[in-house]
Amino acid sequence: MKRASLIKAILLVAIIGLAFFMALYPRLDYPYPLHVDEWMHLGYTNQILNTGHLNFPHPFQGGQWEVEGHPETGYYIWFGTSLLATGSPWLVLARLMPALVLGIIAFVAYAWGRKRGFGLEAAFFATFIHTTIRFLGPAFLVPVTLGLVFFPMCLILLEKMEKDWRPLPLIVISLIALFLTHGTTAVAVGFVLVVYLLFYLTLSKNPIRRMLPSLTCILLIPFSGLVIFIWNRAFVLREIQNIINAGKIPLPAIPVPLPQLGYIMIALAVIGFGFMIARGGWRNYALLVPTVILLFFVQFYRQWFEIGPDILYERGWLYVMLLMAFIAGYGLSQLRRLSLDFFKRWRWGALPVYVALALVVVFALVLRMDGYAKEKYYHVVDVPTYHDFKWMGEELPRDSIVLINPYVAWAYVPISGGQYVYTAKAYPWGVEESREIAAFMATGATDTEYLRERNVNIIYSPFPLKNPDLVEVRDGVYILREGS
Amino acid sequence: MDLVAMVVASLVLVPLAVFWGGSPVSLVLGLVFALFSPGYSLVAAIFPKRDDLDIVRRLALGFGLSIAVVPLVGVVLNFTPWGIGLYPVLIALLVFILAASAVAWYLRRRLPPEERFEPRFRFSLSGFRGRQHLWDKVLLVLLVVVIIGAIGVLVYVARPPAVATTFTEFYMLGPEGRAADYPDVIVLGEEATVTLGIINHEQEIVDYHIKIVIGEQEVGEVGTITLAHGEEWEQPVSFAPVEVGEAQKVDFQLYKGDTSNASHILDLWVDVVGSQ
Repeated sequence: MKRASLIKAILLVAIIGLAFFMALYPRLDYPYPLHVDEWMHLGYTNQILNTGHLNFPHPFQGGQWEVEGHPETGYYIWFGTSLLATGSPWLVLARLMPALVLGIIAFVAYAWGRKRGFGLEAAFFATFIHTTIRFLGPAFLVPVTLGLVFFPMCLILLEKMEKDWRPLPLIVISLIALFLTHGTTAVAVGFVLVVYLLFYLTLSKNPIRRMLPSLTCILLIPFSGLVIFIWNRAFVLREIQNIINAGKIPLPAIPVPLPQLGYIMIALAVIGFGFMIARGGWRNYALLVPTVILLFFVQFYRQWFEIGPDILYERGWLYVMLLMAFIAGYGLSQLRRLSLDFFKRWRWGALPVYVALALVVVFALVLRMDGYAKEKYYHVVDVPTYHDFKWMGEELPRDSIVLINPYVAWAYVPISGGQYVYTAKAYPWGVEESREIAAFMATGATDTEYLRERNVNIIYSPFPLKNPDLVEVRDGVYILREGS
Repeated sequence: MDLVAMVVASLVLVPLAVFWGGSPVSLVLGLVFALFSPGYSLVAAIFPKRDDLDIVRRLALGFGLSIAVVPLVGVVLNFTPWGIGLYPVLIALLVFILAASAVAWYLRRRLPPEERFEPRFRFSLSGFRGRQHLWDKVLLVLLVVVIIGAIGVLVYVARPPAVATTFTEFYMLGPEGRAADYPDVIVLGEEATVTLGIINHEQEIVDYHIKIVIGEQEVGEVGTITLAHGEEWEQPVSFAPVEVGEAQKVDFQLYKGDTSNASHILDLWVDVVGSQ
């Protein structure tokens, strides 16, 4: 192996190791999933594996109705397949997968950027993508994280398509899978691809026969979105209705997450923007333009438009951060080249350049970690509660319906492994139904009829219950006597 | 070589996942099987020439396209009588990997040898011992160290952190050791049985004892039960009420060490009837 290749290999492996660590960082002191969405997705995956089908009784609504054609089905199949193939407990994979996926994102970013000379830089900054409880991110095991892999991957395929048509079916397959995994990301990836292809068709100097696959691809991108329409027509129509007719939706404010990336990366992205404009070329514009449009979209969407669905606004930051990571990588690579060109006239001139670059990288990382340290994540269950749920899953009847704090309910379904909760809500005791359940438990759950009407046969209560029809089989765990 | 390695790894994985699922080997091979092999074999089938793609892009597309292929295979399985389960998923993906690898092998064979894609790793230990420059040796060692470090981080990720929480699990099952058939009507003078269990997570050895109390009257005691951290105890425990009456509350009180206050209390309501 040549020395330069060896150095690159060392840096690449180190960056992938960094990606593992970045995804792990919020989990260092907590053994369980960090976000309600992670629990929810684990619950759905578990239910698909239990029933063997993609239509299944709703685990978070007491199994009273069926989930049909879930729009994130692809993600559940992917994670379910990983569980089956490894035979590992979900808790192990739920910790491991975010690290692996961010490692894959970094590696694919490297593979895409290296031909243009900024592979390592792109991979490095791709590990910086932030994770918050509001717009999620790569530290969470959620569909949008998986979707981020498709940005650099589809760009690799597009570049290959400049020479032949064979990547075309792969792009279509990827987009179909992505529409079934995370439709919002599929729309964003499709948008980036269309912009790229439009620049290629209009500004590149390739002969027209080379452009035919690209033209076909532009036509096939919206076609691949049809899969989600076939899969869940009602969902798509509802989302379209939201966009067209819903009017303004008052979105809660979320802080612009860019400062969490650290100002060095932001500065490098600005420098990268500058270099791209200065250097010109359709490839640069094809990366710049979608980034700027997406940035403006997520930045001004709330202030100006406020029309649904808000998922575009919230997840959009992740796409912006990934594209900005590429541009920051480009900026750093250009600075490296210019500095080396300038200093190499002196013997040992490269040394201060590399020292300076190392300092930039280290300080960028320190600032990034500082941004991470300030972020707060959900800790839905503690260790004793986890053991309570696990015991309930092992000892109590499999198809039981459990009345439980609707917020903690998200964690109950995957931990217990096969039971239903009466209802689950995103905010602890925050909605009417949750308050009703809290009041029922706080007054001792004396109304057995209330439980019968809801088919509930187990209660997990933070309050002591005083109903002779209930047997307390464990701290806070009550089962309804049969025939009572 | 690449196709053979992938096919062999996939063939090994299937029995491993079925019989030894959860082992470290099945974890590694299973991840390769689900996250890499389907995509890589597809890329190999579509791009058989060396000049089509370099190894880095092949590997990257292998990871990325696997994320695309696996969900589509699952959707197809959903519409078959077998559904989405261990055997259907493993077999369907295995068939996909074998088929794509077979196509790749066939297409590569049709090409002149110099045009075929073959991964090449140029590394020899003899070169390392002999002629290589000192810097190259240092870099190679560094590469190995960095690889070990990255794998170390990954292993660390998979292990949940030890959270220093201390608690005891105390539970009650029915007489048959299931969460059912709890006594609800007891004839005076006869014994009723439940199964009690304790699991110690207190990070130290603890002496437990259990008192069974009906109303104000203690009707039984179990213990001392000495458990080390992580140790479990589960046994049937019998008790006999001392008076007739409806809705009598039976308390199972767990005490830790010499404390006079119960750390856990489980309630069971029973009706006690006289013998006819």
